[in-house]
Amino acid sequence: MDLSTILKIEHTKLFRRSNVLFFFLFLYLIITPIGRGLDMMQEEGVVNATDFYIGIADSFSIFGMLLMAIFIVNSTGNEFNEGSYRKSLAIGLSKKSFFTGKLLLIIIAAFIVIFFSLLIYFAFGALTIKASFYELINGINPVSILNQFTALFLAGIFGLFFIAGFRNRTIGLVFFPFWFFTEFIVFLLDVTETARIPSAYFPGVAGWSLYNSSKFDPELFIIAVIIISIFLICAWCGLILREEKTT
Amino acid sequence: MRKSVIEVKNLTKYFNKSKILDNISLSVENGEVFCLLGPNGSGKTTLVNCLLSLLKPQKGEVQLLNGSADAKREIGLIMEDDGFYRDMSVEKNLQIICLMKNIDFKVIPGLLEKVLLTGHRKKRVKKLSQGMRKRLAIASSLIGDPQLLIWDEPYNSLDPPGFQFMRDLISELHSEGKTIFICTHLLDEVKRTATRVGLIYRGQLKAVYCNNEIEKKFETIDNFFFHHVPV
Repeated sequence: MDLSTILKIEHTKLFRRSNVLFFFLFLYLIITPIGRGLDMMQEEGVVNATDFYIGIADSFSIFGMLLMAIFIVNSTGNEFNEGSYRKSLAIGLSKKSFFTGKLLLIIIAAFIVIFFSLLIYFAFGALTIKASFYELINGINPVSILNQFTALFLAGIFGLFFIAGFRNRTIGLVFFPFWFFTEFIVFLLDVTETARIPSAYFPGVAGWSLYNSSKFDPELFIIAVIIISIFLICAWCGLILREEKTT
Repeated sequence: MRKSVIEVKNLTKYFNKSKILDNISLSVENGEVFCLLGPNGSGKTTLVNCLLSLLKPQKGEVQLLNGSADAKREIGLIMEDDGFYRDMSVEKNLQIICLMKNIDFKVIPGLLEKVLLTGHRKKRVKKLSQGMRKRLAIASSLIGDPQLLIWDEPYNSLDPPGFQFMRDLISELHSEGKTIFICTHLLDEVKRTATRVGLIYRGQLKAVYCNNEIEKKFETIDNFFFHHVPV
């Protein structure tokens, strides 16, 4: 099956009711930290477009990654639960095409999150710091966008790995908030030197650090790429090694 | 000479240590209406899943449409669990199948009209009744005018007009030369529609007869069934 057909199929599935409801949840959760970020900026008097851009991007980091993982768990988990995945395989969709479709979905979702962060940056930037369009354009950091994209891709692949391996949407939806919260605690223990834990190698912390990095940091990037590779291989194995019994 | 469209040789399937299919060999020829009878849990759906490569047998071979590379896209399928995207509309579900089979969306209105779901095309699948869902499954199996139809429990949830519709449809498809493989336990429907009948019990294919042979040997299909399956 060619890429354009896979894209058309994923595009059709993207607008299913559960995803549209998810989109509204995304908007709500994204706007909340932005409001907090803007308050802080006003208090600290930040007027530089570059700093403002980093502030906006940072405010997306946790919810962006968390929602990305949950979105993939939700949309892919639905297909496992309702049997449409089995039916697709039975009528000729290969597991490779299904997997490719999910990777494309993650890439599209990552672009949507980045697009929204840019949209909000432009809208709020023009209104809050009264920057001109050219100042706002110059404030965008391309390396930061690459980092954000990689981090969001990591989160999506984490979700895909989980759902392809465990095939349980409900557990996945509960697992990710719990997991990220646990990582946050571990990260705090590590940063405050309460306990020596290699939190930089944990998927959530690795992604979050990369997301918030405005320069190219080879170490962070390599850690993210290694984690992505591990999750990709495990997700693929979760698909091909499992028999498709009746649900 | 008629060509074989489903060829199963020595198929054996285990789940953990229990043998679900036991050395099944079966051949379905082009243009037949083959009904596979069997009580609940006899292995009918497992056999269908093996035919569709959803399950890998421990032993044996399966060949559909002479091993054509694109065989699966030339099959019309009704699965026991309908496999629809429940929060998507009837029309969108059919569009996805059209995309997978590389068929133009233009066929959708005609199919919906055929199964009397035209007025429900914008409805989400989860809002449909069980019988309507089955009609939708029938429509989806007809996408692309497939040569081979594999229907697992197609009569479940149908009302009396639905049964009559199925009989007429099977008769129409048979006259067009399509091959239909039906798994069911409804003896009356098998008697009315099948050209050949197989009986599976505890994973073993107990018998395969032409419909008229059953009449000669056992008088009724009930006698045939209960001759092989203890009450």
